[in-house]
Amino acid sequence: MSDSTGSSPFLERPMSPDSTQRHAVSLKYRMNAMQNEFEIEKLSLQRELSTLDKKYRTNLDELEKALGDTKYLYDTNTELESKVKALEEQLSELKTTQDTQSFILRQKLAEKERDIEQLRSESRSKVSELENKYQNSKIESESSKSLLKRYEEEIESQNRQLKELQSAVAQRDDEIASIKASRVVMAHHNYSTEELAELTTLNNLLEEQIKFSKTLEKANLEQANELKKLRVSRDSYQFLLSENERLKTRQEQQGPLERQVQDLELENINLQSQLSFWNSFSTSKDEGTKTRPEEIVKEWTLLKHENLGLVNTNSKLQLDINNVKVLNDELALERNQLLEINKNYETSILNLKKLNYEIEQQKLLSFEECKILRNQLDNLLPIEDNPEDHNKENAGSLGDLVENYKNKTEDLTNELKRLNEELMTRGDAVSSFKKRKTSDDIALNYSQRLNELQLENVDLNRKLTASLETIAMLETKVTKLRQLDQKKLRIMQLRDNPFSKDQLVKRKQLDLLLKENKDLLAGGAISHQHSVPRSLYDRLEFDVKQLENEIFKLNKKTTRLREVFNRKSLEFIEVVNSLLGFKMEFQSDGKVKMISCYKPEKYLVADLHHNSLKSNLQSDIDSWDALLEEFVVKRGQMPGFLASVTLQLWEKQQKSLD
Amino acid sequence: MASSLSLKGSTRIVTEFFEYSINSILYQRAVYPPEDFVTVRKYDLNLLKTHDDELKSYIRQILLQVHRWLLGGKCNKLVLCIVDKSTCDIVERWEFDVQHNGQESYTEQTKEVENAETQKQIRALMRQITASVTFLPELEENDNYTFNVLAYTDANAKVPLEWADSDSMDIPDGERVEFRSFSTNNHKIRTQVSYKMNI
Repeated sequence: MSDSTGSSPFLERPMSPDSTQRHAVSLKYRMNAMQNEFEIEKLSLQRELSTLDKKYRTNLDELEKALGDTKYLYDTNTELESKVKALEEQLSELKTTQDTQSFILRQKLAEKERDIEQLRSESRSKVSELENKYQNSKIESESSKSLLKRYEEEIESQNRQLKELQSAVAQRDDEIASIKASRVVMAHHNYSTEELAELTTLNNLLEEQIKFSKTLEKANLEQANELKKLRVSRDSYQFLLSENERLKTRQEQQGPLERQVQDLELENINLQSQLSFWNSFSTSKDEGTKTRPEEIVKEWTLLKHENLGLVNTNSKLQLDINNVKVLNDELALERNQLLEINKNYETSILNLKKLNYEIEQQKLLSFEECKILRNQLDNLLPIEDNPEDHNKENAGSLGDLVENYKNKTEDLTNELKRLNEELMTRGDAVSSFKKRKTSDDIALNYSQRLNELQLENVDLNRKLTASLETIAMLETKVTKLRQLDQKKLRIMQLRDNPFSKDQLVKRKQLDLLLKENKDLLAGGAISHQHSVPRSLYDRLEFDVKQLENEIFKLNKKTTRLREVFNRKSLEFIEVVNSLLGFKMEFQSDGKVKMISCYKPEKYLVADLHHNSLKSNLQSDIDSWDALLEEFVVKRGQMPGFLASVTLQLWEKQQKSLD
Repeated sequence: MASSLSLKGSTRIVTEFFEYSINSILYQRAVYPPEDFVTVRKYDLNLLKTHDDELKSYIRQILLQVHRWLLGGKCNKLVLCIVDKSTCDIVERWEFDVQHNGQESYTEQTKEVENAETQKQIRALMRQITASVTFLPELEENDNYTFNVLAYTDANAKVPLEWADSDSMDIPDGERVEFRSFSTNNHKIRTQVSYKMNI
C-alpha cells in the first residue's frame, strides 16, 4: 500500500498483475495441495470404509452364525424338552409296568414255590414207589432165580430118569430080541401048556413094558416141551428185565423232560395268548391283509405319539378355553361397568338437558324482565323531567309496576313448573332407550346364566356317569345275589377222597383194557408173531402196580398184626410176670426160659420137647434137690415146685433187705 | 371276647366229636381193618382211633377246613357216606346236622356245667353209634367198601382248591334212624343214619 494515492488506507486498491499471478500460483498451489490432501484423505477414508465394510460383513456373518446357533440351540432345546417329556412318560410307564411285573413275578414265585412243594412231594412219593418197585423186583428176581434152579434140578433129575428108563428099554429090547431068537429056535419044538402060559404072561409083560416106555417117552417129550417153554419164558423174563431197566432209566430221564414239556406248554400257552391278542388286532382290520406285530407296534407307537400330540393340543385348547372363559367373564364385568357408566352418563345428560332448559327458561325470563325494565325505564324518563307534579302518581304507578312484575314472575315460574312437569311426563318418549338398556342387562344376565348352566351341566354329567356306574355295579350285585338265592347250599367233598381214588383207578384200568382190546383187535389182522401191542404192556404194568399196592397193603397189614401180636404177647408176659413171679421167654427150639422177679440174674430153662429142666438157681436155694425130688420126681407137680422156689427166693430177698 | 372264645371252644368240641365219630364209624362198620385202629380214652369211653397215616391225614384235612367253616358259621351239615366199591352204591349215610345257635351270655360256672352236660350227651351218642352195628345190615366182603365225607356249606363260603362240588349221595328209599343230639353254647348237633336195606 502506497501513500501516494492519498486515499484512505482502509480503501481497497486494485491488485497488480504480478501479485495476481503470484496469488493465482499460490492459489493453484494451495488448490493442488488441497487436492492432494483431499486425495489422501479420500484414500484413507476409502481404506477405512473398506475395513469398516469388512468389519461390518464379519459382524454380519457372526450375527448370522449366532442367530443360526441360537436357532439350533432353540430347536435342540425343544427337541430335548420333548425327549425329556417322552422319557418321563416312558419312566412312569416303565414304573407302572415294573410294578405290575413285580406283582406278577411275585405271584408266579408263589405259584412256583407251591409247584416246587408239590413236585417235591410227588418226587418223594415216586422215589418211595420206585424203591418199593426195586425191592419187589429184587425179591421177584431172587424168587425166579430159585425157581429156575429148582426147575433145572428137576430137569436134570428127569433127564437122569429118562436115561435110566432108556437103558431099561434097551435091556427090554435085548430081552425081546433074545426071546424072539429062542422062539425061532423053539419053533419046531412042542411046548407044554405051562410054557405057553409063561410065554403069554411074558408077552403081556412085554406089552405093558412097551406101553409104559411109550408113556414115559410121551412124558419125556412133554417135559422137553415144558423145558423149551421154560427156556423161552426165561429168555422173555430176561428180556422183560432188560426192558424194565431200560424203561426205568427212561422214566428217570422222563422227569426233566416232563418239566421241560410243562415249561414248553406254558410258553406255548403264553405265545398262543399273545398270538390271539395279535390276531384280535389283525381281525379287527382288513381280513385280507395280515399285519405283523412289528407293524402294529410301529403303528401303535405312531398312534401313541399322535395321541400325545393330540393330548397336548387338547390341553392347550382347554387352557385357551379357560383363558377365553376368564376373558369373557372379565369382558362381561367390563361391559357391566360400561353400562353403569353409560347409565350414569345418560342420567347426567338428562339432568344437563333439564338444566339447559331451565337456563333457557331463565334466559327467556331474564329477557322478558329486561324488556319490562326497559319499558319501565322509558316510562320513568318523562317522570324524571317533571318530578314535582307527578310524585304522588309515580309512587302509585311504581307500586303497580312492582306488583305487575311480581305477578309476571310468579306466572312465569308457574309456567316453568308446568313445562318441567310436561318434560317429566314426556320421559315416556325415551322408553325405547330404556328397553335397549334392559335388553343389554338381559344379555348380560343370559351370559352369566349360560356360564352357570354350563357348570351345572358338567356337574350333572359327572353325577350321571357316577350314578350309571353305581347302577351297573348294583345290577351285577343283584344278579349275583339272585344266583346265590337260586343255589343257597353247596355240597363239598375233598378232591382227593378214597372213593374218588378208587374210581380213578378203576377208570384207568378200564381205559387201559379198552385200549388193549382195541389194539389186539387191530393187530389180529396183521398177526406179528414176536410183537405185542404197547397197550398190553401198559396194562400189565398197571396191573403190576396194583398188585404191588396190594402187596404193600398186605405187608402193612402183616406188620400191624405182628405189632398187635407183639404187644399182646408182651402184655401176656407182663401179666405172667406180675402174677406168677416169672418172666417167660419163649425160645425157638421149644425151650422156655423163666426168670424169677426176685432173682433176675438167674434163670430156669424148661425143655418141653425133651422134658428136661436146667437151672443155675441151685446155689441160691439150699434144698434144691429135695424140692425137685419132692415136687417133680415124686408128685409130678411143676407149678408147686416153681411156687416153692419163688417163695424161697422172696424170703431170701426179704432177708437181704432187712 | 368271651363270646368269640365260646365260639372257638364250641367249634373245637364239635370238630373233635366229628373226628371221633368218623373214626368210630369206620371201625365199627369195618371200612378199614381193625388192626389200623388203636384204643384211646375219650369222653370217659374207650374209643378207637386210626393210626394209619394216610387216613389220618385225610380226616385231618377235612376237619381243619370244617373247623374254619364252623367258625364262620358256614357249615350246616357233615355227611359220611359208605360206598360199595364194586357197584358204587351208597350203603350207609351218616348225617351230622349242625345248627348254629345265637350267642348267649354265661358265666364260668355255667360254662363248666354246660361242658359237663355236653360231654355226657356226646358220651351217650358215641355209645349209640357203637351200638348201631346191632341193627345196621352187615357189610360183607372185607375191603369192598370205601367212604367219602361231604360238607354242606353256604353258597358264599370260601372254598379252597382242594375241595370240589359233589352231589348229595342220597340213598333212595333208605331206612332212617335218628340218634341222640348234643348241644354246646353255640351249636346243636343232630345225628342220624340212613341205610340201604337188603345189601
